[in-house]
Amino acid sequence: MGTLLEIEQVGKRYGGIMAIDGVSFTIGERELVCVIGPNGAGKSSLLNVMSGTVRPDQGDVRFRGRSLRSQPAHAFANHGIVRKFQGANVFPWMTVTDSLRMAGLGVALHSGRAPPAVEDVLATIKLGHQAHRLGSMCSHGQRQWLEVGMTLMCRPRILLLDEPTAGMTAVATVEMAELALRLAAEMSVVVIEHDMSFVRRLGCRTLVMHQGRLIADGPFDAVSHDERVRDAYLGRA
Amino acid sequence: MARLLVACRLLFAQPGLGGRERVGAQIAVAAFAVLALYPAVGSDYHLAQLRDALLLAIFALSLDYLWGRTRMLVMGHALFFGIGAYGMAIATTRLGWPTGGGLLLGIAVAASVAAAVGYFLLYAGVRLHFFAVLTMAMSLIATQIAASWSSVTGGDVGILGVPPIEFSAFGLHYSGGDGTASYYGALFLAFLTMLVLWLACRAPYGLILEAIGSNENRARTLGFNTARQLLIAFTAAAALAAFAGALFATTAGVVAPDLLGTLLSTEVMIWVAIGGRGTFIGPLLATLLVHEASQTISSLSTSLWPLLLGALFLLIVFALPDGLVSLLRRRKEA
Amino acid sequence: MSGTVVVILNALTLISILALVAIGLAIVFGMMDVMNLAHGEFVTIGAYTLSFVQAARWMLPPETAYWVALVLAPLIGALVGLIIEWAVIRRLYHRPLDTILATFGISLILQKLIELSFGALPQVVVAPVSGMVDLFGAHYPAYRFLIIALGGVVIAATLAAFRWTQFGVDLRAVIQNRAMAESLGIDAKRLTRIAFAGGSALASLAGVLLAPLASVETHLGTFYIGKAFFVVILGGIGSVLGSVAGSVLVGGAETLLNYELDPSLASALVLALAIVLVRLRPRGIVPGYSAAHELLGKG
Repeated sequence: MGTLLEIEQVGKRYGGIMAIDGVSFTIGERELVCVIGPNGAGKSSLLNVMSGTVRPDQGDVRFRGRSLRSQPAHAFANHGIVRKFQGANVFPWMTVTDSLRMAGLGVALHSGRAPPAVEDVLATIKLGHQAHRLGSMCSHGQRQWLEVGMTLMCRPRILLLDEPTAGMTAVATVEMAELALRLAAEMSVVVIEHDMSFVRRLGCRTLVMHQGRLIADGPFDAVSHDERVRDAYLGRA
Repeated sequence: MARLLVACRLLFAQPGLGGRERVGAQIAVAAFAVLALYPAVGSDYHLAQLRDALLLAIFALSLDYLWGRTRMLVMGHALFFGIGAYGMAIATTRLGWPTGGGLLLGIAVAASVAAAVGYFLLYAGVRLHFFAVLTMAMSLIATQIAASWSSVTGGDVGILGVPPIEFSAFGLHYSGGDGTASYYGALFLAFLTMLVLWLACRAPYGLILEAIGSNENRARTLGFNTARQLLIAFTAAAALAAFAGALFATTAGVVAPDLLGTLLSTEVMIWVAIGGRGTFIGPLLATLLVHEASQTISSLSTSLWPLLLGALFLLIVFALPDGLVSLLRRRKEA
Repeated sequence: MSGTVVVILNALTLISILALVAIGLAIVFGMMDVMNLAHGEFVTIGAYTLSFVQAARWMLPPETAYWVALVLAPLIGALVGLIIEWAVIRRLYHRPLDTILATFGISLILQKLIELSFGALPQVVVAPVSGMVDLFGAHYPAYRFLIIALGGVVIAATLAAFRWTQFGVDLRAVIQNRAMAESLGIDAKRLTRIAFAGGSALASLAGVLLAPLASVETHLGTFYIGKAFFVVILGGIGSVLGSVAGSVLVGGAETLLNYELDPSLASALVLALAIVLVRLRPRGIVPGYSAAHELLGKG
């Protein structure tokens, strides 16, 4: 399993708060990774840095050995690092089909390779029956699926999912977990989650963040029995 | 080269005709037919007035493309129209160039100004009202320069004696000096512009502009270089506005500083807003109607028209955010 | 030597007036993300108030009438500002592009109403003091000294109020985080109204001050609003200090360029300078930490 993405001593400060404080780890090809941690641990900031949405103050992000530090957000997507936002960030005045068709174009124009067929992605995210519904008319759960669909249109090599199951029913959460597992056969997938049952179901390598630092990195079972992780979640650290 | 072709096929693939589009297309065809028959009944004076309005409609279409699709409002859009007109006038009367050269000069200067300013502003993240106001300032200052740089622009008087366009092709001779010929020329170009813009924007390319206009950050993380897309659209709109301005100079025969200025910039926003942003046929027809109305009202009193324009802005913002087209739609839904 | 002093004094005159116009714009922009295109009309209202008061024959001699206008104009400006805020601005919160269109409409209407009431010809106004004063070897009009002094005092007072009074603290809180400020019990709507009226009053005051130096016409304000926008953009949104810094930059550059170039070319160069500076310092000279920056994708 070759290394795809290297996060090296990344730091990001907001005013007096270190949102991320010297975090390092690597993501391999076709690896499934979960990032967990209590509220305010720096998970979303980390994902922002990994996707190029925010530039780190220190450290580096390397993709296949190449530094992406000074690259704009759209370049990250064109390298294959594609993200889903927290809380379903879709285009309100576009139908589901149009959103998907549009989403694939940026990367396709850059790479010269045709985007995936919209019908296939619609089937994957199970929104075929909602194909002509406007983004603003979709339910919160449907928007989550639509967002995942838009990222898939970009042919990601690393898929970054920020809270993909927030606002979803229990059944849909299980389906999302199955999709993440299936996608991990083709690409690397990084998931930020609060829902521990979801993370347990994925049963993959898990990174634990607390107060901007990475405090644990290992299989979910090992991590969930780690004393420091329990302290962090119970507020003892 | 092959890659460019692939890109074009991706960007401009045409989807099937939707229900709402069919209504728009019917309105467009009917309007074209009525306008094509107009010379049979209209007087020379009205024909010339309608021809000018058709050229102004091309100008309105250029703003609609930008404002309606990318939600980038340019409050000083007459700047580019005026540059096109002055380019034509200076090239033909001062430099002795043919009208074709004047057309290219006007378009090239307008596109360069837009590209330069757009590069600095759009890449710095300047958007929305910020962008709108800066372009307004540009048009204000350009008016002042045109009024004071007499040796080139003719000062307050402007430049007189811009020749009409004349050319021969396929054994046919076109003379812009002839009222009917120039009317049909303007009619053809206005509807051609509308057709091209409509085809481009109903294709996936239009979806990209819509995505950038409604949620730019999200579009960026999908791999779109949004600043570059906006810059291209801004430059293209400026070039199209200059094209309309250069043609306008040849039919009017004169250019003056007000072609760059606030009132024209204001009117073009009104035309687009009343017609319905992003609909193309709406702004085209609105330009013809409102221009006709403004000529009538201005002949009664000069200060009445700006007063009405002001009231129209308030009306649009509070009552008709989607223009007159929204009335049509509402009735259909009711 | 005396030449340099004159240049500096000319620059100070322009800077005082620009800052008075720009402060209101910057604060309202910072608080509500509203760009008020009718702001320039308050300058015009101020200038016309002066001409009206001086022309009224039942009143005092023009020199004395000037002082009456200086008090009256900000009151009228504040009143008109309150009406506009109540009738239009507050209804369009969160719709920045619509606000700009609506205020533009108001600006057109106000200009034409003034023209219909007073005619299109320039109005006659008289400065309260005449003659020249000698300073460091420079021979300089007394009235311009008055502008610099009055402008300086008002600007300093505004800066102080913004920095040290409870009102200023509340205002800054609303600019930085409206929702949070409201949840802490600050009446953001009332503050906005007061700030809007205050900014309008300052612009009207600037109108009175500059009227004796300018041609009092209906589009007087249009010239100043364009410059005031450069000031706000360069200085930073929602920051009084930024407005002053931006005024120094724009006013200074324009005064210097006016010596070498045609005024319209000088304005064009200042605009070009503003555009290039925006690229280099997108948040302005004194960033105001305004929510407006986020909206513009500038955060």
